[in-house]
Amino acid sequence: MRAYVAILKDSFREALSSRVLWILLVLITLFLLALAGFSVKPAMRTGLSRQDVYDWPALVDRLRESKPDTAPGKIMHRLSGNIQKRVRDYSQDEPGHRELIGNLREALVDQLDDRDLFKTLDLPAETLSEEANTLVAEGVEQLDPQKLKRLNRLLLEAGLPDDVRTSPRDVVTLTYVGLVLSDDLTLEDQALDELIKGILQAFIFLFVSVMGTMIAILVTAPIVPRMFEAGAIDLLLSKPVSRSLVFLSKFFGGCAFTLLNSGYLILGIWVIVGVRFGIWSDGLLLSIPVYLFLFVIYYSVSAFSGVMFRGAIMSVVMVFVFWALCFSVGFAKGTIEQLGLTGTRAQVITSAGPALLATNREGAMFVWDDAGGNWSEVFQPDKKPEGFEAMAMRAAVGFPFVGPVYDAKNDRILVINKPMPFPPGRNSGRLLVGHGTDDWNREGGAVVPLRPRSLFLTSTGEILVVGPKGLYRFEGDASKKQRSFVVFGFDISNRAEGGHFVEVGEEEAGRWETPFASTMDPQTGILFVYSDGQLIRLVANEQKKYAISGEVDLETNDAAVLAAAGNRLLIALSNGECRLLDATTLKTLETLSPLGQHTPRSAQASPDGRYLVLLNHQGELWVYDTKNGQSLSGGPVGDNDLLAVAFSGDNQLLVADLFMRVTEYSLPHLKKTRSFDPPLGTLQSVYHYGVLPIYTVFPKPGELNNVISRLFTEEDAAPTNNERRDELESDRIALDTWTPFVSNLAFLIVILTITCVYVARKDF
Amino acid sequence: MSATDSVIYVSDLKKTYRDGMFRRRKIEALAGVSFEVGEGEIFGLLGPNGAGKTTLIKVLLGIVRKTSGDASMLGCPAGQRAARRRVGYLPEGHRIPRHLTGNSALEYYGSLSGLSVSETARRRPDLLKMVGLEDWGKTLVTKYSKGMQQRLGLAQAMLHEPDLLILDEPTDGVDPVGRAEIRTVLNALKDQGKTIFLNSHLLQEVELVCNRVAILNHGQLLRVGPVEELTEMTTSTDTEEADVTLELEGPSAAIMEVLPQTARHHIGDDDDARTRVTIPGIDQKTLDEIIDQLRTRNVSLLTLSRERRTLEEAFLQVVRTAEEDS
Repeated sequence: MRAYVAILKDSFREALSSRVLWILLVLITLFLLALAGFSVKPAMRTGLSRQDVYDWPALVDRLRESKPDTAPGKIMHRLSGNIQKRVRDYSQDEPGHRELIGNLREALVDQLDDRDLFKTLDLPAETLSEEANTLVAEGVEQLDPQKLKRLNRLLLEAGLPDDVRTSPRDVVTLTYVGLVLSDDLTLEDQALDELIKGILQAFIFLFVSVMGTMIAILVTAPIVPRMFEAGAIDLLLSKPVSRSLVFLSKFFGGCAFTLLNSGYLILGIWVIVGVRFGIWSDGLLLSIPVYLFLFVIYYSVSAFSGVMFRGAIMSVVMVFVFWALCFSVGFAKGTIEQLGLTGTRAQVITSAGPALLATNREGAMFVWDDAGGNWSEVFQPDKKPEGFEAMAMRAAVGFPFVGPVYDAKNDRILVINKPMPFPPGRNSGRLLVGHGTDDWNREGGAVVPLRPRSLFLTSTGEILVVGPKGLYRFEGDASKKQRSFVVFGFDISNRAEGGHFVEVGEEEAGRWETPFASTMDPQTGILFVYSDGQLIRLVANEQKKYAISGEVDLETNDAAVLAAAGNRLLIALSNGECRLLDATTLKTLETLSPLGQHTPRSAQASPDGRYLVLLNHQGELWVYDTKNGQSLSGGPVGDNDLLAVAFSGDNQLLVADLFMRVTEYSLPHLKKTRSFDPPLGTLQSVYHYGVLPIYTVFPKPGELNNVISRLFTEEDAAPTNNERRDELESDRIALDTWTPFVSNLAFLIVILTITCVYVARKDF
Repeated sequence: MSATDSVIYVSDLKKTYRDGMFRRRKIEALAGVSFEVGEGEIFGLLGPNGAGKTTLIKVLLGIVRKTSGDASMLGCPAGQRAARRRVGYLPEGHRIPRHLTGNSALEYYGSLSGLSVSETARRRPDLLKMVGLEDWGKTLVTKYSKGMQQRLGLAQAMLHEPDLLILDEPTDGVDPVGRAEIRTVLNALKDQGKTIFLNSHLLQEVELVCNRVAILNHGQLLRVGPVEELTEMTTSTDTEEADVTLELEGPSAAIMEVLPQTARHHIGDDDDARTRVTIPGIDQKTLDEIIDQLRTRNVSLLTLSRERRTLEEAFLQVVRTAEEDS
């Protein structure tokens, strides 16, 4: 053992004698010193950015339509005559929309410096926040300019509660060597945490994983070939040592250079970020061994080539060839998945009476054709987005629907078609309908309220839309064709035509925070809303308005998915933790993690209220029987390639896996009862029988970045769009940490074994 | 001697290398070599470049695998770790890592040989002094001359006090003073009862140090024997025959009568009735008969000496003869 320790020790000695190491250490030190200049200090949010208003056109509408004695009316009155005129003219069409929004924002920002705003608005103290009342108590005339701005911002929030976002009291601003970088750059602790971790993640990827690995490979490439030089290897092998262990000691000793550099850099950043920002990121520390493992994969190829060809240049060349091969395989897989297979991946399956519908991730809906043994597309829009528009839509919206939900009474499906989020406020979501008797053709088009997240059908057939902005019921004929008027890109449709949504949340019910989720108990019709860790139980009263009948603080701010059945409420949090609550008392009965720490994707309840199912982004399923409190096993439980789950009207479990294949299982024994298995297309066959097997056996060093990403986000499925981070049901890229780890480890073991066998048998 | 008694035992040892990627050419580096080295011997292995000397050493140390035959070292099959633990090896053109100093190099190689750092530190000063590097321990080996590196290599080979030293060109690049010092070291080791297997081009060195030598050419062992035996002058190709010079006193006629025709003679003056005779390529039995006949003729034998040559001359003769025969 002493001999191998000596080789390891010698590797450190060799690394420390390297000039490159010292140059890098000096550069890292300079970088750390520069980084140490950054810090944060407490600040107040005083400005009004574009993002501070939910929907600028809606604000324009409100200012225009409000009576003069209301707060919005008073604010309107304080604006300049020109702005007031343009706001009034807005309904006639406004080609200079963006300009108006910009000018209106500037005009509102000007109000923030005005000491008369408080007096003018004359808002009752109870409508003001505690912070605003404290500032008022200090005396408006005595407030310094910063505090005045803060008070006026709070007044705008109180005066325009539906339009201006509430701003947190405790924010920080970034400083460098004590100097404030920007007055407008204020962040909450959570946002600061996410910002810093995001920057660190990008930094680690670019400067450590990519550049660091490249430099380390170049520097360490000669170590193994030098060991095999004539005169050196003879001396080494004449000692009473094992050849394989000598090679392995030298190999792992070669990592000393990388360990010293990356360890110093990351540890330095960890200390600085911890001391200066108060963020002690475990993920950052854990990225050191992960990065080292990434380097070891590449270095194993370098060492193998060094043994075979006895040259540093060849080692470097072979590493780049290896990298190119891995990249090509990963790229081919990713490209086929993105371009060719998105359409074959089910997002939602819907049992619609005797028919089975599947909606893919692009929003194309298909009905199963028993005769043809294949899916046929239905519910097609008049005009499908194509090319860039389709890509932008996919990137910005993700899955374009909320729903579908099957209305058995009318044999129809209901879908909310999500609007494009940009430009803000220009597009509206639409309630669409498709009748079974009409081959599921697309109808309707009533405008839905802002930010819809869930669509429910009550036992009496009422359509409910729930989102963080409120709780709405549809009134009218959803099937009626809604005409759409778009002038110069602006949707000026008559929003009341055919039907409209009315708010049915009482008092506080209807203004919620994100992360947001909701569910309805199919048996009782009771609504459950999850709003930033608060769980709210809503029951319809005689006026068909929903009132809060229970509330509990779950003491978390993780995103969640919900499902309710059999007086049980399942709350699955983004960290994989599941809580089973009594649906009446909202008491937590059980906390468990049936699928580990993987991020959940969807939770469903069976129509009879007996079963709860949970599907996560890794494609794993958990089925819970509320009747006897047991988890079910067998059937699809244990698979890891499931994409969607649903219940049929007769309480059978439906699961969709790859290539739009749906299987039906009976409960509680999870026996397969039916299969909807379409034939594979050419691209799917190439992917399934060619690319996927190659990808599976190929090492995946690049995917170790997913592990680092997971360490930072503490989520194992990254949202494709950060805007939808709180929407767990939206499409995510599963950060499969174990598959790349296992495949890389297997590759490492194989290549090191081959190299050891070669070294052990070779005549030197 | 047998495999268990000998420090080195080699019997019909063969090693064939294969060269080329596809149509692999055979290169026979050792073609059935057999010899033994006893305990306490300083044994020299001679041979021109490419003779297979280094291959033989590598087979003994397990750096290269034999094709067939037997090879053992210190009672263990060649290449076994137990044997290597008791061997100190100085390879030809050895390379000590450039980032090491004399001290750290000895610490490194000492650890590889199983010594603790403290044990190495204890032995290091005397060893460096022995090889004349006592003032260079803290200097990086990149600053060392070729000779100094060679001496440091010798020090690392001796560090763990091995029973057998295998030295491949130990005086390569070392100046005459250094060579003398190395010779002194080797003789001291010999006095300690260590066995030394020496491989050198400098035949004068071998002649001065070694008890026995072997001559290897094209993988074949041409001669093995004591240095004195190898350096005996002979014009005969028969290895049992030697050139002998006799100094005689007696009647010239009697002497001429007995001597073979090939003998060269020089008759002295009348005052000095001594005759100097050189008989080339004579075996011991014939020589004994001639002496007996001279004595019956009242010829006195004043001196008898066998002709000697340098090891280099003997080596060249053996190699050339082998080349001519082949």
